[in-house]
Amino acid sequence: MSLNERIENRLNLILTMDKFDKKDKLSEAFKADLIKVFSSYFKLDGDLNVDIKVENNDYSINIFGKASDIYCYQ
Amino acid sequence: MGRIIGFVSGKGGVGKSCITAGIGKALANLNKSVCLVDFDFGLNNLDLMLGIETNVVYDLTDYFAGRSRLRQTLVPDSEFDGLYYLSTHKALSFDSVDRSLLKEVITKLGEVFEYVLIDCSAGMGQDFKFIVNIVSEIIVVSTPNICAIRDASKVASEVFKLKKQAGVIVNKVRGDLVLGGKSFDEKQIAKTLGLKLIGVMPEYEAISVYSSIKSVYNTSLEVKNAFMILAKNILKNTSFCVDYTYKFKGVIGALRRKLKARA
Ligand SMILES: Nc1ncnc2c1ncn2[C@@H]1O[C@H](COP(=O)(O)OP(=O)(O)O)[C@@H](O)[C@H]1O
Ligand SMILES: [Mg+2]
Repeated sequence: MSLNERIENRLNLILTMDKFDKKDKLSEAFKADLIKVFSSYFKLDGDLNVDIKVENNDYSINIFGKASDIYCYQ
Repeated sequence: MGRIIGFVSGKGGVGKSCITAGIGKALANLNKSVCLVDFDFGLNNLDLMLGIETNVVYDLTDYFAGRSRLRQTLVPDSEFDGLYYLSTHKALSFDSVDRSLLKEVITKLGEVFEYVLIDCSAGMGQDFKFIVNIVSEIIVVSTPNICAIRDASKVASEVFKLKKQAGVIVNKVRGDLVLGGKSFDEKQIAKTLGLKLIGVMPEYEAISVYSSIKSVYNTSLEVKNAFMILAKNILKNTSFCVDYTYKFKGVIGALRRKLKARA
């Protein structure tokens, strides 16, 4: 990846983060924790998607991820 | 009680955040416990300079509202143990924050850390007045540019009234210009401002280019070394300056100077 592309990637991430409000920021931390937890059960394929929706004080949390391998402990 | 140092400048863009971040990393590299406080409400960038912007979850407003504990609010640095970052809210202004709570937090940090470095905003508004009153030492950051020196001088005269320990760091100094007699050097600037010289930070291309993808401290070995000298000066109350003119001395150096002047 060229330097310019790396700068662009970082900038995009920062600009997106600046648009987050409190809940979304928390969901980022939440997501990092979830990845840690899931990674001990599955081999995660790609990103984990955490969607938090708020409607009339009702929260719905949707978690999407793809696991390519499931670790079995026997 | 740790040393609580406020970095101020008057003029914006002179490199306060860059210098605060670099010195913070260097002090942590010297095994000191350091907390960096981003005091540029609404326009905070210190997290970027440290390269930890994605790790920031809570900020001071969360702490004040009871959503996070202080220990949780402090963001650990990704490179050095003992280095922490405290963020102010990226959308709120200084006016909307309870000052007695702010003072309490900074005092508390001073009890926990050996060094608390506060990166202030530009200007001499309410936040500036608040900070210079609660810190134990003040570092004025200036560049050799006359607008920066003029603003630094205004800041310095406010600082003198408080009779606190104060000094100046001259940033973005260029060896080719100083040797060519086209720019003030750090000693002249410190003398003009009537402040003790703490040190100098040359202008490095590595900072302009690589600070976009990593922490300023890690942009190059030269940069790291210059920050290390500044940190040691703060630690030991000395004023050593990195030699930024050596590249432009001698026959080859003169050629470099000419080439740079053309560019
Ligand atoms: N010594 C230096 N060499 C090269 N670029 C620098 C140096 N110091 C600061 N800069 C650049 O100058 C710009 C302004 O610095 P910043 O620290 O944000 O200033 P301030 O906090 O005083 O507004 C940044 O883009 C930074 O990368
Ligand atoms: Mg700044």
